[in-house]
Amino acid sequence: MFNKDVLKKIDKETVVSVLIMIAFSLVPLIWFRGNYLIGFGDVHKSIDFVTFLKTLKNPWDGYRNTGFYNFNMAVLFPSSIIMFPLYWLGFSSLNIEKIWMVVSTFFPMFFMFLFLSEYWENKTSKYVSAAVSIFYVYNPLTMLSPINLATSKYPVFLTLPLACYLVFRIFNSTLWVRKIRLGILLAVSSILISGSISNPAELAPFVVIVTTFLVYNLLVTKEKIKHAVLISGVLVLTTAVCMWVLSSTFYNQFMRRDVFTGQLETFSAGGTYIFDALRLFGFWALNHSFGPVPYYSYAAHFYSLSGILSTYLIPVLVFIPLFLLHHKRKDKLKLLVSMGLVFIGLFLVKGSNSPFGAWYKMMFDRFSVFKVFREPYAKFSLISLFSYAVAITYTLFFLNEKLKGKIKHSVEILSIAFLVLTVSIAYPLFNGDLLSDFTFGRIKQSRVIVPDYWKELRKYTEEVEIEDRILTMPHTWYYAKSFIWPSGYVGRPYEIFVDGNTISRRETNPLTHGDELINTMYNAVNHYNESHEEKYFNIFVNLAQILDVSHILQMNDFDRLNYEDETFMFHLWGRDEMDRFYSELSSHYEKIKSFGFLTPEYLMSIPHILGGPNIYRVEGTATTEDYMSEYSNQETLQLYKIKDEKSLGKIYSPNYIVKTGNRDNLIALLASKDFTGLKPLYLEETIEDAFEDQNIEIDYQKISDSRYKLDIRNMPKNPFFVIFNESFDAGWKIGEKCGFFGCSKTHSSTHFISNHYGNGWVLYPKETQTELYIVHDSEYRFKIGVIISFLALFSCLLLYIKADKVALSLPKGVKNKKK
Amino acid sequence: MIKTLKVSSIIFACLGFFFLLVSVLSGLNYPDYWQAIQDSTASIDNISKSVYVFFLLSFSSYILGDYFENFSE
Repeated sequence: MFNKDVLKKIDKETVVSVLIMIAFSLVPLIWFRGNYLIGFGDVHKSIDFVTFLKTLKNPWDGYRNTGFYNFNMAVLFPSSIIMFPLYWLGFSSLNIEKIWMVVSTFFPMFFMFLFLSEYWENKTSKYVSAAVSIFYVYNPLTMLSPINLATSKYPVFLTLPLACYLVFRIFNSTLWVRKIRLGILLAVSSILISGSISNPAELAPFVVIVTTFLVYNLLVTKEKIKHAVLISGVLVLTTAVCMWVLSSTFYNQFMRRDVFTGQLETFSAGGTYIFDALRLFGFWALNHSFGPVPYYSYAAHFYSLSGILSTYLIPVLVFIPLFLLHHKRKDKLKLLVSMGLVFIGLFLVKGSNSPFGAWYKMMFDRFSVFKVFREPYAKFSLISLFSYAVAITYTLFFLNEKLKGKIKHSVEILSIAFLVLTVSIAYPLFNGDLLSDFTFGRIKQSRVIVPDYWKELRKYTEEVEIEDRILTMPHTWYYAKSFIWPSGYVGRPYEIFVDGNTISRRETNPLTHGDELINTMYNAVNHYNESHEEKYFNIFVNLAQILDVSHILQMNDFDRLNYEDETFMFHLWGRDEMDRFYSELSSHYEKIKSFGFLTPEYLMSIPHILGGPNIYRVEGTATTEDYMSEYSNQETLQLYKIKDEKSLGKIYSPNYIVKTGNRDNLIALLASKDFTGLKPLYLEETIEDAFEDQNIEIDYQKISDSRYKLDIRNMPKNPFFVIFNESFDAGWKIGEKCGFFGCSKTHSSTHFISNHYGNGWVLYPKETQTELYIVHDSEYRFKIGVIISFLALFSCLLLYIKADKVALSLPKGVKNKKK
Repeated sequence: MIKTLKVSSIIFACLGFFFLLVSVLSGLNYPDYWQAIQDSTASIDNISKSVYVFFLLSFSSYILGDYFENFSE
């Protein structure tokens, strides 16, 4: 199976090139300066492999509204492959993080090196390929959005050159056995991408470039039919292998298309100036700041004389081949393809900006799915970077041809000159400026040590097995994640530390209208703190009731110094102020049990599942008409501005509330066929009056994040409610005898939104057993996807071993070359 | 026709490089370069647009010329 020819190809140039790339891979080590860089170390240490597997098993958590993949999985998956084995071998967290950074820097470089050598068929010097591969990792794109830090982009960044290399290897190989094996490797390598894509839009560069190369190779090859069969097989296998993670995306795209696209309708097309796009800059945040704090402290340099002159050498090198096309060259077609990708990349990156911005906007407006590309730089700039690298390799190769014979060691000189240019442009990556150092109140930084009390909190939640929701105040939003920690701020990891239970654990997300509710609560506290007006206090109490909040934690390590001018500034109280607020709060709202600092002793609990009358809130909450009319004109109550029913906001505007009158009418409406389950309902009589005859109790056990087991005691004689305090989603089902692939019976027809927020069902005693399950149907899709993936992987293994037999049985008219 | 397209391709490429140079040099006159780019009245971004358009024209006319050349053969 091992091909001895590979060893013969390894020459002195290749060895030196790889050594140079290894040396450049060590650069991230200077970023650490003794601290953690991304905090993964701590996350992995506290989330062991079993917990990690549980995370994989949990398709529901994460982007609840859209069904996108579990974010934890996206963050953890790529690094886990290296990190978990190293933990077992006893490496420290910090060292593991360092090893990961070095490895994750080397491989994209190495794969690019392989691809460039293959693409230009070894005509270029290996030194040139190595220099350009180093540029692929160290450039303005990776500098602005450090690829190995921005985890969701990393897998595409890594696998794109590998996939392109394999595509050309498949077509360049003469042996069909080898072609088939390479095709299988291509399909299997897609696991790396599928396992870590939290946003399918990140796949765009991969799809555009790999498809272009496949089409190119199919057009130039002599055995078109045979290659088409092979490529179709690879695409089918690739999709099948990735089904463990693609099942939900497929479901959302095709089965719930109206919901998916409806959520995206509020987006508008963005873009970057062509001036910056040409030199691979263009990230909107480059010249912005958060308050007085610039996002990139070194940005000014790239608008100064030296910065502009050096960065503009990149497009100069890219566009020189426009002159070279006119020479009679054999590889002209490949040059045309790479230049075509350059223009496509630039067109997409500049988005709605001119020239041709109207075309981009037209696509954006006309095709709903295109709306995921609202921020083109983040999604498409990899196309520019990749095609730039291919074109620059050709330019350097051409310059070397001209200089050869005139100057000694011309190729070495050219490669070194290009490396110097690369380092000068991406200097913040080399001197560590990429990660700003922390000065209180001045700037965010990325070196992270998670404070001990966060770890204690997590440990506590695990020990006491709290399955309830946690409301932390204030929650944070995009780019406002600084905390007053001795060693910097933390973005994502804190969400994982208080795992799975917080209501407001995500930053504000345009797709989660629930955050509007949380924001309103924060603002109410801020206003109340300033004016002590009762109405703000009432807003807070009412919304707390909607969410069934019983305990609140204040994140006192939030760095308010950075956000004094911001609307969302949240007042942080001292102990005395908190006690005062709590005593006032508890006199108005008896469910509040504590209000405290971010420590385990103040941890709140909100039951996930309840039954009976005590939880279906009507009176005294935001659902009353008086409340609506009083506050609906206030701008702070953004949740009432939601107009589009398709957006499936979890908190609905009053227009969508259905009045039901008394309890009997309510139950009749829930049971009727016309009821869609997507509208909140409220009673016009008091809860006590409506449900005075019920005394139901429900015991429950959480089996997984997508499955709960219920045991109903004191089964009432009349119809009763089961309320599940997870964000409403049509995917939640209540049923009986729920096994591996489904329930024997479900009660879905009476599914409704409870308390403006959660899931509710009305159940009839005669038709209901005492043992029930609440299951999210994404669980079944996930299981089926996993089974398909395993079968596909098994098929890949089998095909790899039996490739010679498959190659022999290829269609007639196709000769199988064999040694 | 083929020759015209091929000559046009080179001329457009030259114009692209010319405007690239002009956009860099003209931008250097502004004390706040970023502000100048953002300002729609500033010429920098308009010149940069010309860079993209001329390079694209060069590329397109080459492809057209090449296509007709192969077709005539």
